[in-house]
Amino acid sequence: MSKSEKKIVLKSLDNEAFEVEKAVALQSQTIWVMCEDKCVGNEIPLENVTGQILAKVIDYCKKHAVVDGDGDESSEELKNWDTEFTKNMDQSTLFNMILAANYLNIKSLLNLTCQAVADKTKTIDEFHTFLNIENNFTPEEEAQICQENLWAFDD
Amino acid sequence: MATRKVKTRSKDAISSLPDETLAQILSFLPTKRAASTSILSKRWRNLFSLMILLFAPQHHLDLDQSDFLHPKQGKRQRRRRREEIHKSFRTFVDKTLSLQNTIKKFSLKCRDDPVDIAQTNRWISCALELDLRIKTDCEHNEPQRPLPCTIFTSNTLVKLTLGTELCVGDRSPLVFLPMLKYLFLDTVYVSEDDFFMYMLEGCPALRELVFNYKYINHEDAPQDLPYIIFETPSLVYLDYSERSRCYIKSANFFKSLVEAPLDLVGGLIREGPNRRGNQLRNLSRVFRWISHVRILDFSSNTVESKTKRGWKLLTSLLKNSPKLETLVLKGLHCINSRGVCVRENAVKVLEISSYRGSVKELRQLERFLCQTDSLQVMKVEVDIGIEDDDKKLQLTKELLAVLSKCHSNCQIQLV
Repeated sequence: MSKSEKKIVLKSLDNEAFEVEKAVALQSQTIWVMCEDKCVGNEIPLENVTGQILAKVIDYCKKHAVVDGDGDESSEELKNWDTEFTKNMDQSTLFNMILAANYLNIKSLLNLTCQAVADKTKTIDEFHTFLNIENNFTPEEEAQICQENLWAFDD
Repeated sequence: MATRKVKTRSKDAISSLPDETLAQILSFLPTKRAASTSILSKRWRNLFSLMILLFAPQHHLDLDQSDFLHPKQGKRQRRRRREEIHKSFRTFVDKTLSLQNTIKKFSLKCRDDPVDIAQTNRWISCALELDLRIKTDCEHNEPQRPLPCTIFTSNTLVKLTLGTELCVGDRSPLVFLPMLKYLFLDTVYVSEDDFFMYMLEGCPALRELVFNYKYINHEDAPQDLPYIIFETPSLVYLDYSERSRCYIKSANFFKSLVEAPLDLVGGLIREGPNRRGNQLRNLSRVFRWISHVRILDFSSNTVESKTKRGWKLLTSLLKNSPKLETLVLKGLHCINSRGVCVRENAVKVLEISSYRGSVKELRQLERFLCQTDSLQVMKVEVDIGIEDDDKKLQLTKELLAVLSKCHSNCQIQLV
């Protein structure tokens, strides 16, 4: 990829194409490696991310690219923006964001979305339901773990 | 339709999250809740340990035993259960701390068991990297066991919080904390006063100090009060209560100090007459060391004294701090009719809290507005007792009237 090419196209799972500044897209380590390896042309297919999620990821990257480059916004503002960004996301969007951040390897976004999940679950039951975890312990095993971690279950 | 589709997808999606990511989510949960996820499923059983291994630096390891420290005294079964919980807690702390030493934020509240002193000391040493807080409940009056001496010699410790009613040790330990920037001491017992005297010499990089030291029983206080030598050329923030009853002997921070919440007057007024000479000497020292301060905060009950001396003292404080830019006052309603002379100062921001709008208060504000040319902003916070909107409106009108009378360009903010 030559330096003159400032823009690249990201293509989602459902064939939605997004043209973005290179500097914005390269916050993703995955895309960065793809570009370095020259294994793709100007269009990068992202087979694990839907257009709806990719649009949000790009929003995030745009915001953070501007700030890192120009430094015209304070870190305080950026933090507020981040909070607003995840505040109204529903469960499925949030999980897909985590998956996307994980797949695209954007560390700060992964951190932000993981924090959002933690913030949204206030009790262990909520956590259970939120993450949709199936309990596969036998009653004996469960009793043993309970005994080992007695202090954590004592409310 | 579309959302339903996404939802089914997301269920599969969650199980496809790698363990590392789940551990990352755990790192943002409070420790106790994170630990309790071990019961969710076989996969989750070891995720807490994985979290400590991978994300220790970003997790606030908060181990708090106080939830179950004081349960009601009950039947024998209850007591047995309490002992089991206590045991499981200690095993857990031990296991977690042995996993990683990159923990950056670590709070521990636990029962100090005489049987386990060595173990507790080992935990304290684990926390010696960056930030150490040791606090005890003040419920019982019996003296605490001494802290391990090792906490006072560390090449890495940046922040140290000790309180309340902790005991430093039988003999004064050597202090060597070259990286220490923040020190918070609240009523720490010492057996030898020379500990405080020389303590700060071992903390040359100190930037912020909160020092609140007093004898719990007044009868125990010796006549010769201890003094402190400040060898802290970088100190910018000093919260030093005069009730601390320590004298500042030499102070190497005149030029660096920027902000000082002071609690002088209350302490001075309450003392008996026999100590007065000493106090005045100490006070003149205080005047000297605040001569470069830019922010003075008297909001901690300081001037809320009804005596004349308290307000007179404020006059001399203002005279003696030529660089003062921000002044915070509370309890102005107690001001006497003579008021405080505010000529010759360079205050730019004045903050008044608990304003009640009495004639005396208004007169004092008028003095500030007319006599302090440098004043740019005056923030007035109305006393919480005043809820009536009409009353507030009236207070605003009065203030604005004073403002126009003084021809001042100062901006008034009423909250």
